[in-house]
Amino acid sequence: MKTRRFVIWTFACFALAALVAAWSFSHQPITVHARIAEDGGFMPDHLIARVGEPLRLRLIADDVEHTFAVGQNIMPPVLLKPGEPVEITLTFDKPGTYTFYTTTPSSLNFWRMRGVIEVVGNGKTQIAEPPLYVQLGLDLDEMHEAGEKPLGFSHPPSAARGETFERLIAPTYFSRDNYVIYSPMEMYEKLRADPALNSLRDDEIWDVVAFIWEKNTNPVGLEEGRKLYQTNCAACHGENGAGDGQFADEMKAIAEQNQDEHSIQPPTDFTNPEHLLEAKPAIEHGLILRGGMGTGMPMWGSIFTDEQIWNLVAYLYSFQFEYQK
Amino acid sequence: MISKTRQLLFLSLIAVLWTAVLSACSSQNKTDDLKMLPAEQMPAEVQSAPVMVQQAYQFAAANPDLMKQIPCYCGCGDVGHTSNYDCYVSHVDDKGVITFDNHALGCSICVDITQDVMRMTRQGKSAQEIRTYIDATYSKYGSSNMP
Repeated sequence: MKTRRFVIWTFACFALAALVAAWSFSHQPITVHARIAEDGGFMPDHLIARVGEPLRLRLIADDVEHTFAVGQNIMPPVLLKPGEPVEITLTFDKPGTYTFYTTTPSSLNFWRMRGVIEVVGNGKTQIAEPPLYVQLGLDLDEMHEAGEKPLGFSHPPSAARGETFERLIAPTYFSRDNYVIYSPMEMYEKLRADPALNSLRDDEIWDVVAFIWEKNTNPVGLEEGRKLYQTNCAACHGENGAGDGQFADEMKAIAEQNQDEHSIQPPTDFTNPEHLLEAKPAIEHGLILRGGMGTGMPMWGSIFTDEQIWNLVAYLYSFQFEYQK
Repeated sequence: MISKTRQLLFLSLIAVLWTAVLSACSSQNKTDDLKMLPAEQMPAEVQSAPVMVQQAYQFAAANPDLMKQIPCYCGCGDVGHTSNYDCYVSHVDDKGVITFDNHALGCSICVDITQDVMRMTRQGKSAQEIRTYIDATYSKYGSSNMP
């Protein structure tokens, strides 16, 4: 009888210990290691959370400095220094898949440092619609170069100068629908053909185009676009948009070796008017959302909100146009 | 005095608890349980790529039947890719020698999709279930390369 009781008590103690361990385990933060992408990236890179329940994470940089951010405006980047763990708590109010990522250009493939938090539970899941460029039937991957077309200006088009002709411009030119589907070059051609603007020189028409582009953004949106660009895009495209970021030479060398336009390419030079003035805002929006097809330009649709993408698009055109504010 | 039935119930409960605790505490290597082509059989540029990209190439090359049923949403339908598999493998000859495609080395969506396929395969999901998930997750970014 004593032996039996001993066995039962022993098992009871184990059970209690197991319960305590299970409780303790479930209340421990999940440790996420950060290493450069070539050495593993974020580990683990797939986390599960429940709507309304805090998700505690202990973030550790194993090699060099990294940042940890969660897309869709959930969490701005937090700096991770080697040997200095950072604890964070996230709570999600909607189910869905949220991407965490780094903004630190720690290596050529830093954009591969991504993972997802799968948030499960009750709540409305948004039904996804096809992206705008698909709805509009646009081909993101066709060339958007102006080629030999004369641009008709020798200095950056100025929104301020364009504003001086506002009384001549029909309100429909400023509509969002037109802005989205026409490239600046196409808008220029429409304006040039408008008899109401016959008195304007070509460079003045370009100033009007800059004014129309400026009217489709605002200072707050442009500032957000600038910050997003400098944080996430400048490492490849360069701080001034010239396609000369810190990884540009490496990407160019890979492209020359591969000789394949559907694999890694040099970053786009946004200061080249022949590229950007021929690109519709809806195309730029799509390229940011989806990424370049195999070109080394990652998809940002899982990270940026739609509004952020439009603000980034607006900022890109500031590499061509002089805005007033 | 505790009856034998109660003792049995009590011991069963303990066993269940232990199993739960042990499974919660265990860690699993991400690729141990998946069919993968050895890393040594990958081209040099794949071997020097980020770990997640290497794994995607190894998995895709080793699982053509599954991967040919999975669409890609990166836009590669325009260059003749008919599944996510084509983002990794451009040709397999009669002797089974694989010619790899560099496309996925610079493709964000391609590798994300494959990583999802790997995770769901580990969870025991069928090809159809995986495809349904991929379609639902990635159609907001682009067009499928499969009809």
